Amino acid sequence: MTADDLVEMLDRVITAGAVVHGDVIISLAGVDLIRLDLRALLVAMDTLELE
Amino acid sequence: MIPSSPPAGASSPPNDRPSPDTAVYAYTITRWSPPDPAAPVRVVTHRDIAMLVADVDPAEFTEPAMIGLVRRHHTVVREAFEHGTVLPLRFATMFADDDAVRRLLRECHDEVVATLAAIAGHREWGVRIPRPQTAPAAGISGTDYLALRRRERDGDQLHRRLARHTSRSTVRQPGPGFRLDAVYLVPDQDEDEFLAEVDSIGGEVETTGPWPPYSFSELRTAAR
Repeated sequence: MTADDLVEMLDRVITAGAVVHGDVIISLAGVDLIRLDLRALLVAMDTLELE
Repeated sequence: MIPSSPPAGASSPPNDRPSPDTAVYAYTITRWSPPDPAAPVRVVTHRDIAMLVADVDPAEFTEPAMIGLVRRHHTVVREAFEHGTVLPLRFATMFADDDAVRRLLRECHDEVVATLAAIAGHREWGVRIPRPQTAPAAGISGTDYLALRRRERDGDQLHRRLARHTSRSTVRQPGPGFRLDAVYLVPDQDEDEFLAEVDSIGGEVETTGPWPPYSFSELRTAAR
């Protein structure tokens, strides 16, 4: 997986996919926090080995 | 990002889930029941639909581990997608227990079946076309400049060309750097034509895919 593919994958997994409420115990707020930190994640990712 | 007080429902776990520190992480909904997903992934079914889940500790979902968890999410979804239609769920979707999963599947059953039917036999592709460099004030002919401007405006036209070969499409929020930034849900039988159309655009085109239909997965009945 190239760095570009990895970014595309992160983008999809974190910001796309069906959102369900109801019994979900981790709130959307949590996901929003994750989204805000996406940039930090991407920076941190530079140090990780790409598969 | 973890609620400091136990959310409703987690304070009285059912018998098979003694620890409130455990949650049922949901990856994707599927229409079929896969034979044996690799542990720790397991299947919770309701009638003819199923959810791929795993027991997790919500406290895992902290910054250092997050990328690995995102990767795992994608791996599970991708592998399921190799075997059938999937309706991927947003990262970090968790339930208190299996009963909560079944309640959701029961409430959304009809919409899930309809959505899975609509996205069956499709794969998602992303297409990005960078915007040409802004014309310099000097050193470019008037004809070149007009051609450049015309190319900048034709993102919509390119999108229509590509969308002809697709079932659904979404133009992402246009960034300053792109003439076109869109995702397409392409029927398997039209994939060759779609990709040929992409190739025919020429110039610099970034294509990603195929992906499970992340960008076309939604459940209105559950998203309240």
